[in-house]
Amino acid sequence: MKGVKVFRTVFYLPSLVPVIVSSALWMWLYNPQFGLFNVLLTSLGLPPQKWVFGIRTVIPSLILMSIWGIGNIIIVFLAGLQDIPKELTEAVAIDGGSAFHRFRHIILPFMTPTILYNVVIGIIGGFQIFTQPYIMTNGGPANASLFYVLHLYRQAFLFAKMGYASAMAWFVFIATGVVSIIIFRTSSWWVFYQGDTKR
Amino acid sequence: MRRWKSRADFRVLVYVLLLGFSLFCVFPLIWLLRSSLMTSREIFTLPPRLLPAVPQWNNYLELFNVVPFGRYFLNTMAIVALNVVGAVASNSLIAYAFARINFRGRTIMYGLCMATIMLPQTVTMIPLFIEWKLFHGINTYAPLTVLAFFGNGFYIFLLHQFFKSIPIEFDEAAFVDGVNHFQIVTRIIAPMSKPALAVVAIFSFLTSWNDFFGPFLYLNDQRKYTLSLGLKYLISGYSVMGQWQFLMAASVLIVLPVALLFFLTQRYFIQGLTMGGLKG
Repeated sequence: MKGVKVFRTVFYLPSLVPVIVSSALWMWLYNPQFGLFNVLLTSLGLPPQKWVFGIRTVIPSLILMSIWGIGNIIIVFLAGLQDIPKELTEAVAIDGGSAFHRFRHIILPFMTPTILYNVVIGIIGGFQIFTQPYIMTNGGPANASLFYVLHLYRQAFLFAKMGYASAMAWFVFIATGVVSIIIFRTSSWWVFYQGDTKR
Repeated sequence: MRRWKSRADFRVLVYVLLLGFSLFCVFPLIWLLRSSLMTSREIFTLPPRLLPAVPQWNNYLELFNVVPFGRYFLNTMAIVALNVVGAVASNSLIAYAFARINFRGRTIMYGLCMATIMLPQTVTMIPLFIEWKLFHGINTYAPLTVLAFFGNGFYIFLLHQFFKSIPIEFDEAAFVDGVNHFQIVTRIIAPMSKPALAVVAIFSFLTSWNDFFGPFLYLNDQRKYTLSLGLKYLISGYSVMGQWQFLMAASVLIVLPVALLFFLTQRYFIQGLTMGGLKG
């Protein structure tokens, strides 16, 4: 496919940007009057949004921003896709299967370990989010983006409640552990490993 | 699922999607560059302009007058250099020991090492902070550099995998020649593991260059600030004053070395990331 290398590089570029820089940049992009997003919306005749400055829009805005930096996940997926044996996808084509069949019965099963890996890593990372809300909103507006680690940080270093904060740290550690274990447990009925003949 | 009329239709759709996501990836970066080259008046014109009328390269020079940016750069480089050296030196020795030397409790110790990969930074943050306070390490570079010399689970894993793939006959031949373990690492294993060591070097460069939380927690003397910490204080000052052009110029300067590193060593980036993926 033409230009595939260019697309790969372009998709990866944002994940090179340090989190402090992307926080500064996205604050500016989300600027209600002069930011890129509201400029685009108004030029399309759509109503401007409050983005990170609105109670209901702040979390979706932070999610949109993190989607911008998913280059690492893309590369892991790409490696997974490249590991799929060509014979199998070709066999589907020979048997008259459509692209959808190829996806549903070959690509998707083969990608489940990669999906599992990214889900677990994503959840662990999600629990740790700190810098973006700290820089961009400081937990606001009205605590709408007060994330766990931000709260923990405040307890420890603003209110000097080290003990309470340590307890919070243990709790998030156990919570991530439990969530990961639950996901791994469910994995036996949706993750397919090569050489596994049961399915 | 409806069938596509032809493969050509499908290709058009794929390209449209790819172009759409590319725009989403690149436009913020273009906006970053364009804002960094505008005057403060131009940046607040309505309707906004896509490009500056006259690129204000002076913004970048001005930046060095407003904040000690050069100093922040040198501070950051010092921390980064120590981290890279520490990571390559310590992890290659540790991984060699795990891969080649038989000793009691090796499996358990390797398992413990691997378990630290899953340990979130949040959990160790407070105990580490208290520890560094006891050692009088607050407001020094010790908390940001010393640990790099004591191994990192992920890098140990990467190097261990790589060293395992080197035939042991090389070591055995060297032993016959009366060479010790340390010399085997420096003369045989390391030269043969350049790609893996490069991955470790690049990733530790990136992590310490991009690190915000570490410097933020441990440094409070302005003269010791790193780039990311300097930018944090620019953000709190300039976003209120509306001097976004300086903020964006500073951001460009922080991203530039990383982008340069990426384009020079793209191959290793991919390798490191996908090696990480194998764990799962």
